[in-house]
Amino acid sequence: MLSIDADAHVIETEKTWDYLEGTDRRYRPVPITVDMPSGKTQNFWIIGGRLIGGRDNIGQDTSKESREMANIDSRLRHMDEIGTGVQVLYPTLFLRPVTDSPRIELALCRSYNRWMADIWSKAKDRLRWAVQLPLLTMEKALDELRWSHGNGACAVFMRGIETNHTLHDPYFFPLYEEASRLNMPIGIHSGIGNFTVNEMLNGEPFRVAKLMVIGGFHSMILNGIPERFPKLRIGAIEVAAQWVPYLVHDLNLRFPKLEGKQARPDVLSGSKQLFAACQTDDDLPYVLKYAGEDSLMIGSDYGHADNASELLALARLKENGEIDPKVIDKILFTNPARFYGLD
Amino acid sequence: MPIIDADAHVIENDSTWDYMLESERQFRPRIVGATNGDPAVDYWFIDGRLMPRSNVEKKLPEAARNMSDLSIRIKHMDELSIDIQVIYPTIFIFPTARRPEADLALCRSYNRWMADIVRQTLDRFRWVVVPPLLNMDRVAEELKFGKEHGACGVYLRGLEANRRLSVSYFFPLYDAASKLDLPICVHSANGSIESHDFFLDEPGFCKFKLAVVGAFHSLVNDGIPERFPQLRIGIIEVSAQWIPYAIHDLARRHTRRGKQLSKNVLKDKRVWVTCQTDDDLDYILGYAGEDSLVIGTDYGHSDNASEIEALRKLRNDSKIPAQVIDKILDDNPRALYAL
Repeated sequence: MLSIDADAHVIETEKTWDYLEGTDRRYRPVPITVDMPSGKTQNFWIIGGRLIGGRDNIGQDTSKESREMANIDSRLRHMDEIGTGVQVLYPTLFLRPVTDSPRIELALCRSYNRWMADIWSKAKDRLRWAVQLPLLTMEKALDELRWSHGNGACAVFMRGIETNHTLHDPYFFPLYEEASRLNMPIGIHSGIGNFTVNEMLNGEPFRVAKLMVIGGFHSMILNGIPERFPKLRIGAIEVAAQWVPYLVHDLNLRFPKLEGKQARPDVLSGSKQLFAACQTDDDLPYVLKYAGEDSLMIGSDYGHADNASELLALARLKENGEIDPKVIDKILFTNPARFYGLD
Repeated sequence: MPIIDADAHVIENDSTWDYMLESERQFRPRIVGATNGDPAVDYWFIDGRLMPRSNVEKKLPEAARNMSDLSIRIKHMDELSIDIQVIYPTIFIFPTARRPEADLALCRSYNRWMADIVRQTLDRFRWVVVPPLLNMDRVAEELKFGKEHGACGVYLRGLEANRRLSVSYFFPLYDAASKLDLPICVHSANGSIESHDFFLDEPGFCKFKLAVVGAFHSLVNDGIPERFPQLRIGIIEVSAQWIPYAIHDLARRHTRRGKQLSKNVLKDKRVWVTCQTDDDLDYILGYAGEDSLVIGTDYGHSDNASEIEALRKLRNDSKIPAQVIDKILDDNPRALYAL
């Protein structure tokens, strides 16, 4: 059975910005390397006058040409070697706030998305991607969403906080409406899209990258987004799944206090709309009691070298033998296929 | 065996601020309501900001909630089989002050009010002192005052002074708390105006609970227990169900740094966590160990964590061995608060 890597990455390069057009070219990110007082060097992009990171989270267990998508065949061969049929590609740069200028955001998203579409066009069956939307301008975001749908995108990339809004804010309802119509899920990926909160927490990875996603997922469920948009699928990506029992417990203390709601211990396990990407170090037999067999997926974080990266995660899940092989098949294929609409 | 309620509350009232100095009266909080008398509009007005006064369990007598008549509260504790309550504030769950001088006035008055309330009944009530963290040079003397007047912990929120709790700004606090044998008690709350207000329309999971879970993670990940080897840490009113997730994440981060997270992290780092009766305690104990869980009622409040019968329910549910329950109800809070 084919395995779907529910969370793989591309590393943006100068080529990513070759798709900027016309006057947008003035917003082209500039790569720089800084000699730090520690004696190490750090790599950044200069975007709109700001120093933006995201060039140093590099998984050396992958080749440069593969992770940067300079050689698609190389990437596909590596996927064959590690037993991955399909990868769903998420960005690297955009895991953090990049700009608060709507014009720059639109230009960068358009260029990134066209680069991704170009990559997809070379391996349509095996490389799918999550679209990066210019959410500071909702009308443009919807245009970009529609364009990406015809060009290989199978999900909407969002972070735990986007713009100046929590994810259950009505500001995002037009997006959820259109994503539902296009059968594209919302992948809330480890990351944050708000400069103020990010800087206040000093970019502390656990809080800004993990807890904010769990908080966003929680707030969408508590505020009834799945009920309001019954065709919308929502996934929490790259934050492990060990938190699922905590979330379910907390929601079930809150539901009875809300008008018209009651406790729902099966809020995830009984849902066809909610998903989470797990990790091999999660206590999966326990997590499955809360998440159910049909909600978990798994990703390798291909291309990165951070706390969630595990190139061979999909293979290890099989080897670990902790859970029923039938459930493993669901995690490796059936569930991500359903989440990303690849079935 | 004595039973200790590791997380109870007092509801502040107008007399809480009677202890302000003459020079501080300009910062005295005011109770404000709607001019049309709508009872749903009920706030404190403090330093230019509004704080809700809605998290109150109205089934309890007012004199028990605000501790104006301790005999009523003690009678109720006896009915609940609670021997000692550790009292946390209500108003300071929110970021209360923008200006250092207002912060100092509020903390000083609250601490003196609490000292006055419990001075005759220290066998039944202990309390956590609120440090004026926008005035770090005044923190040590305030902690000393608290210690001399029955305080058994130092109140902290998940974020304080717009900072993470692991940054060096707080080292003088941790040093003073260590010397006075007072644990820092990070309670479900948020002291950052920016972070709190960003999540204003959110009921508390992000702005209060996750802020505290994040604080636990950063304190441990950044080595605060090793830097302050006498410091004890309480993580209060966020349940214990999150512990496996935080430990899994910490373990991965330690491994990446070539270190190994100890098997009994909480005990080794001197961290205690309040659990709730809906937690999967048999499972959680596998991560937390028997010596690190405590439990509270959230007495006085009516929120997601409030359970007036929590201590009795823990005993009666018998989901975990009786000797572990004894530890959660007595030995562990006694160790955390050095009672």
